[in-house]
Amino acid sequence: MKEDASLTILLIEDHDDSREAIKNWLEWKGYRVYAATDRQTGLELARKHPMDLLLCDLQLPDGNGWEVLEELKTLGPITGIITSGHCSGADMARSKAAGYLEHLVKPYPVEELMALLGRVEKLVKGRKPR
Amino acid sequence: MAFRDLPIKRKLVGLMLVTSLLVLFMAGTAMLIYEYQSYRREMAAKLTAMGLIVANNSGAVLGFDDENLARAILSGFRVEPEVTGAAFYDAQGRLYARYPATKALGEFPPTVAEGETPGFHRTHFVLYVPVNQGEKRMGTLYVQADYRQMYRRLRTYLMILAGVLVSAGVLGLMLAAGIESGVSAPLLELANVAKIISRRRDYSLRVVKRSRDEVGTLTEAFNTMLGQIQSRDSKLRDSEKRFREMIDALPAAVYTVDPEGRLTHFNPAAVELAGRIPDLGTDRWCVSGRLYHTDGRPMNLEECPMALAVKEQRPVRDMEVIIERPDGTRCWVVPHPTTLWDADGRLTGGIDMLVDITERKNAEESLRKSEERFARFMQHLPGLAWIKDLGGRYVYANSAAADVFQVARERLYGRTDDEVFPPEIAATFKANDHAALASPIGVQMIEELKHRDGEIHHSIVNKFPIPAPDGRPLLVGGMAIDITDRKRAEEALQRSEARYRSIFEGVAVSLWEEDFTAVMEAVGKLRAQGVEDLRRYCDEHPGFLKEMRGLIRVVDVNESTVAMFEARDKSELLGALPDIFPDASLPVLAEELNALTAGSSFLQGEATLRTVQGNTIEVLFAMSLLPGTGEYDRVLFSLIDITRRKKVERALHESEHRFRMIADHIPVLAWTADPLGHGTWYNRQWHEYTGMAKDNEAGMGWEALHHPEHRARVLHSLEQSIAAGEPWQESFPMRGRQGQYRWFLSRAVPIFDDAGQLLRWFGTAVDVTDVREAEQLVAHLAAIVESSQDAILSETMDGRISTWNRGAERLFGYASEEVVGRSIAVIIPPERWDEDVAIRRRQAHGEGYEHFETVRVRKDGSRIVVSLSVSPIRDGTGATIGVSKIARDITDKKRAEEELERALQSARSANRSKDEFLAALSHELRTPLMPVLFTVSMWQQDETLPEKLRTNLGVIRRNIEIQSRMINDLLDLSRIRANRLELVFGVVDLHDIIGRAVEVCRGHPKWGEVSIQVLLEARAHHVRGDADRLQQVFWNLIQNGLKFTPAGGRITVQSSNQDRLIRVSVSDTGRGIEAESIDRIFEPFEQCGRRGKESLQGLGLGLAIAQRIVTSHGGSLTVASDGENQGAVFTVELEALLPDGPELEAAHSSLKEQEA
Repeated sequence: MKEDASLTILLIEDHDDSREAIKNWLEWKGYRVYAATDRQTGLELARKHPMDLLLCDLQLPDGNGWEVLEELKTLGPITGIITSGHCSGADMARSKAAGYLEHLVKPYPVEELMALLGRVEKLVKGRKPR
Repeated sequence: MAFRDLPIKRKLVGLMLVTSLLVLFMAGTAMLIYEYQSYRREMAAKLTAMGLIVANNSGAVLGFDDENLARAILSGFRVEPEVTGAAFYDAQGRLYARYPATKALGEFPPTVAEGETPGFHRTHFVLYVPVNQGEKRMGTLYVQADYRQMYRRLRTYLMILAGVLVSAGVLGLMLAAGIESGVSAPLLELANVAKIISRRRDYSLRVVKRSRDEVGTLTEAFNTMLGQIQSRDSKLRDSEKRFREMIDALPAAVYTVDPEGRLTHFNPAAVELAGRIPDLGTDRWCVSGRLYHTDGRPMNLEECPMALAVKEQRPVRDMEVIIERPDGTRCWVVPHPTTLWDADGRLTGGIDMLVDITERKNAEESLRKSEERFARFMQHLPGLAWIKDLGGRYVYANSAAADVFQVARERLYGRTDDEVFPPEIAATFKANDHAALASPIGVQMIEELKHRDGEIHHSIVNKFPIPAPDGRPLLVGGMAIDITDRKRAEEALQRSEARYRSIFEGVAVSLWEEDFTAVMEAVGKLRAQGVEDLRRYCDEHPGFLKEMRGLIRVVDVNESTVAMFEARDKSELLGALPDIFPDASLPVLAEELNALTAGSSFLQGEATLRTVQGNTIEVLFAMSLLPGTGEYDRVLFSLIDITRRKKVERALHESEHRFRMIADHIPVLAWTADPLGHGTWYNRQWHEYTGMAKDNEAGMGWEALHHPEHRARVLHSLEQSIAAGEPWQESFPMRGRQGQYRWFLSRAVPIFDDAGQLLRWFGTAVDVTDVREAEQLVAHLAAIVESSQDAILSETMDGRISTWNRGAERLFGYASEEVVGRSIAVIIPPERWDEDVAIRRRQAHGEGYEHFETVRVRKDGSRIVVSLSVSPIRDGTGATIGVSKIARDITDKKRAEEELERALQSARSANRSKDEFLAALSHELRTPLMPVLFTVSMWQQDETLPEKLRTNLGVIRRNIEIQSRMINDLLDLSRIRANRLELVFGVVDLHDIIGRAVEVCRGHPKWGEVSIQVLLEARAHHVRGDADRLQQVFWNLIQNGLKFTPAGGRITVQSSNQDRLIRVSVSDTGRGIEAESIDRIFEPFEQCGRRGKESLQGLGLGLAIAQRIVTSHGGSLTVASDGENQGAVFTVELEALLPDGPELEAAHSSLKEQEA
């Protein structure tokens, strides 16, 4: 984990392989990643470490990604990207309504994620000027 | 207590004592010190002197060594009480002798050398004197003295000092008493007086000046001030006293209040007004009287004018108030409230004068009443009344006078006779007025005046002077009664009396002049006793009428009467009166009395009387009152003998009347005709129906009333009957008064006399139209009901079947005969019996059911589902008398519906579970791809890995992506098939979408090998649609083009507008499509005509999905190809939004907002 990572990412994903793969990828790309398997663990992590981005699966063993973002927003400003295996229009609309920047349908190409992370970096820079 | 706050007296005493004691003490101390010092000095000097003397005298003693002498010399010190010891030392310093001899040796210094230093010590004084003889030192004298003496003196001294101090203190206190009377007493007195003055407000008090010092000056100044205050106060008191006296002397009630409204003063008149002595402590404004408004409403005390004036500090004027005293009498007062202010402008209260205007009001009221009475009296005077002043001007006239004078009253007032009447009449009136003024009791005369009717009227006029209080005439009153009518009547009466007499005797009818005075007096008495219904009284008291008959006095009869009653002369007739009016005629007398008492002056009737010869005669009589001297002294009876006429009439009338009565009231048309058939009479109903006039009835041709089609037939049969003299009957239409035809059943019967001669025909015609119509209607309805396929039945309100058609027989299996009269329950399943009761209850309220689904039982016991329509059957009065039901068998329909519903349900649920399954499946299929994709992507970019491996990783990755896309396509397709494709509509820029789609294709392996040209030429390029889905469409099309276009080929994406459409074509230079396959290209799993290695990529769903998406947007996706290797053109057409349309503008503005 790099000390000068441009983003601190909270990854919540209950599919173990996916979580590991995504975490590896993100860390390889130089981001600081905290990974959780469920909503509760994710929330606990977020309370300990300030997060810039939430990358969250829609369906979680103990809740859903929409709730998670809502709860995280009470802790501080955070950007959200939600992922799911479904691509229903209603779900996507609801994700937007819940405040997510983007709803990615799994499996999404890494390029798509990277493009989004680039946008988030800009956003976060704007949020906390250094 | 601080010193400051101590009374002056104590301060002075304290100061004095402290000062004097301090002075004394210091003086004493100084003297003490001085005494001490001087005593010591004296003692030293004395002892030294004594020592020297002793020493000088002792040289020899020592020289002689005479010890006893030495002791004797030493004992000389006895005279000095202070000396406690003395001794001689020899030249060697040894003790030689001592004083006193008993004193222990050790108490002396052992040697002189070792002796104490001479001088003062703490407890004693030591002196060494050398004892010389000549020049030779013989020894030393030692003297020791203590201070006892000195201390004794000092003690005495101190005691004296203490005594002086005490006496000085006592003296000081005594002096202080003097100070009190000299300084503080006058001040206290001053203060005391000021206190008394402020309490009693008695400024006449003075303080006695006792000294000429400052206190004296103060006292003087104080007294001067008091003097001024007293003079001011006395002036004020004078003024106040004068004010109070003035108030008390005022005839009106006056009171004053403080600003809070508490009564502070009142005068005797106020006591009178209040009806009690007010209490200054508790009473308030208006001496707390019970107040009323002038219209009688109670008034709140706190809203009385004085209260308003004080509270609101505004003038209250012209407000009248009624005060009720405790004894209930009331005073009508006008308050004059005024607020009072002190010199500083503070409100100090108010003064109110209540002016009692009760008497004035009473006087006004009684005047008004009196005037009203006068006016009413005058208005109802039967004659004219007026008043003129001395100048002849009218000051009053009643309406009758104004009417006769023909001048409106308001115009009459102020005018003189000259201005109102013609000159000669005015002159007469004026002359009469003068005469009246000259006479104290007035004059009476007859005056003439032309009235409105144009005739000269005569009036008796009384004119009289109306005096002023001093007795001199002030006004002239006049009253007139029109006597014109009376005069005329009198003249007419005289004329008529003469005429009457001549007629009375000459006329051919019997005339009786009778005097009913006595009778009417008796009747009057009876009524006075409370008898109201005279007829009943007569019925109940038969003797009364007989008595009355005796009281009637026949004044006169004429000659015709004598003849009618078969008498020889009047006297015989008058002598036989009781016979002439038999008891049977008494009811007539009752009628007469009744008429007379009722005030009617005319009565006509019939009576049966007897002649003098005993023959009965019937007479028609008329009674009338003639004007006479009394009320009932001239009652005239005229009698006509109608005996014969009555007889004939009676017989005729009876039969005719009876017939007409019947004929006019039977509900049929009736007529009579002569033997030849000519109509002679028609009854009322006939006239009413035909509209023919009554006077036109005899012999008219009623043939005209017949319907042209039936006339010939009817008349023919009638003629035949008449000819044969036989009864006739026929049905035919006949015209009514409005021209309508109705059917009549007509009969005619011949009427024969006893001799068998045909007298006339009597005919009737009964209206049978309604019956005929009803019969027809019933026949129609019956036919309809019978032929109906539905079961139609009716039941009575108690649930019995009353009708049952063939449809019912078919449906329920019962024949009509089997069920009519039985309970409806036979066709209702037992569990639904309640339902039928409910139906009938609802019908009773006149409410029906339509297509009410229920179950019924057939005769064979099987159940059928029927649709039931129920409606009430009403009789002519609108009352519900039964229920009609139409039942249709819907068993089959019902079953079919249910099956359909079941099928739909299962289809829906199957569909739903399929959807759910597909969703879950795609989720499950895609999830495992994630880690692979990420891991592969990572390795692919990891430059530490060999290039070849990374290329191969790219292959893996691409295939994973393809698989993922295929899963998406499958899901989409299943959605499309289930019509569950969800579209999120918005305003979409197609050019934007196309750009993005091209961008996404960048990752395609053929990117770079095939050139892509994008020509966005459409002007209107916005549509309503789902951005993601539309992107999917173009991505699919471009992807498709890339797939089938060889390297070096070209794909062109071009947009254009066609009318309201935007057209986007994606053309490639690829393999094209064979003509036979082109129709199936959009079918799922179809990759027709494009076989080859490319076809392995994907399931061939892309185009199918693209087309469905476009169709869902209301657009079209078409394909064209000139054949193999000729390329293909896919064209999307969608409805474009107008560039300046509202939707687009809204989208733009919301976009701007987001940017902002």
